[in-house]
Amino acid sequence: MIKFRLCYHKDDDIAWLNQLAQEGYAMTGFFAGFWHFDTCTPGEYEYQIDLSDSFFGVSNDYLELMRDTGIEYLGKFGFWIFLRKKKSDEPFLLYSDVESKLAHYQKIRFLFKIAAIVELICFLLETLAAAKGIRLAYYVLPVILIIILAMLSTITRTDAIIATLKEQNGEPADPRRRGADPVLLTGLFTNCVALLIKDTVPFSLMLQIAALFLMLVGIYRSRQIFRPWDD
Amino acid sequence: MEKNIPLTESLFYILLAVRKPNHGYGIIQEVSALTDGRVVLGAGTLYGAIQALVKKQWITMYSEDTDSRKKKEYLITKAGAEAFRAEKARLEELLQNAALMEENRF
Repeated sequence: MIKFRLCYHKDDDIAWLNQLAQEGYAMTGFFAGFWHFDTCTPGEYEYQIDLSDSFFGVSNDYLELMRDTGIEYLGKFGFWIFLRKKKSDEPFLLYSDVESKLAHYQKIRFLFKIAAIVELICFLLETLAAAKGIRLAYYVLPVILIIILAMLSTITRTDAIIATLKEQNGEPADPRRRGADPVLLTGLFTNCVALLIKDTVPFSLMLQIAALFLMLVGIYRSRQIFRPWDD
Repeated sequence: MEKNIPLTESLFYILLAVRKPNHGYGIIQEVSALTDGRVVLGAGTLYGAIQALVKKQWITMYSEDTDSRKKKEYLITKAGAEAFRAEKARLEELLQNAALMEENRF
């Protein structure tokens, strides 16, 4: 069985995989949003998703440690490592203390921030292409917009997890305002609308200038979100 | 070194478990045995800690022979042992001062 599902929050994906394993479908591989499943005894496995140090390959030390602790390495896609273990009395957890959980989620947030910045640059380039009348850009823009929204949602959720962990660890909560900036989102959305109605409505140029202004203000206001080097 | 003290509980026990050559799974088992199952290191936590400790040169790879089938073992270094002793001194001070509480009858 093959299922398609984009992974943008690992906690959701783990819950989903565990649910399917409970129903008798064991995930055995992942590639670019396509998840491969084999049948299994219901509840035979528990799943985990880890983050690799590097985009390419995974170290022998890592594989050896996983094998020794009864964890099966299923594969790797980008930075994500897919693992499973035969279900036992102990829940399958990769991180056992607050410090390492914190480091793990901070690493995830860092990668999503970098990815979000890259997507935002793509979005602006596609907007320029659309303004020049390149047809394809009209279809690509909404897709990029959805990806950006998903990434911002992940960053916001990861922020909340990190804040909780810091609190458990007795560290002061981060005073900086976090989360997706509404002005930026409004700007992105307005820009899409302006482009879509470009040929039909006369005031679309005004709308687009307003969108550009909103996006610039939004980026300025969310400069703290886009500051991965703070982590 | 000051910055590394206090050690986290996981690091404290990992350093203790590599006072003699030990491999990853051996570390998990020993720490679990020492704490009566209270501290069970997650594989991700241990992997990250080993990477960090090797980088800091508090532990080092140890191999008695060149047999590649043998599991990779780790051993504490002089710097690691010093950090552990500094932490032990800090904990002893805590315990010593904790004894003052005995003056209180509640």
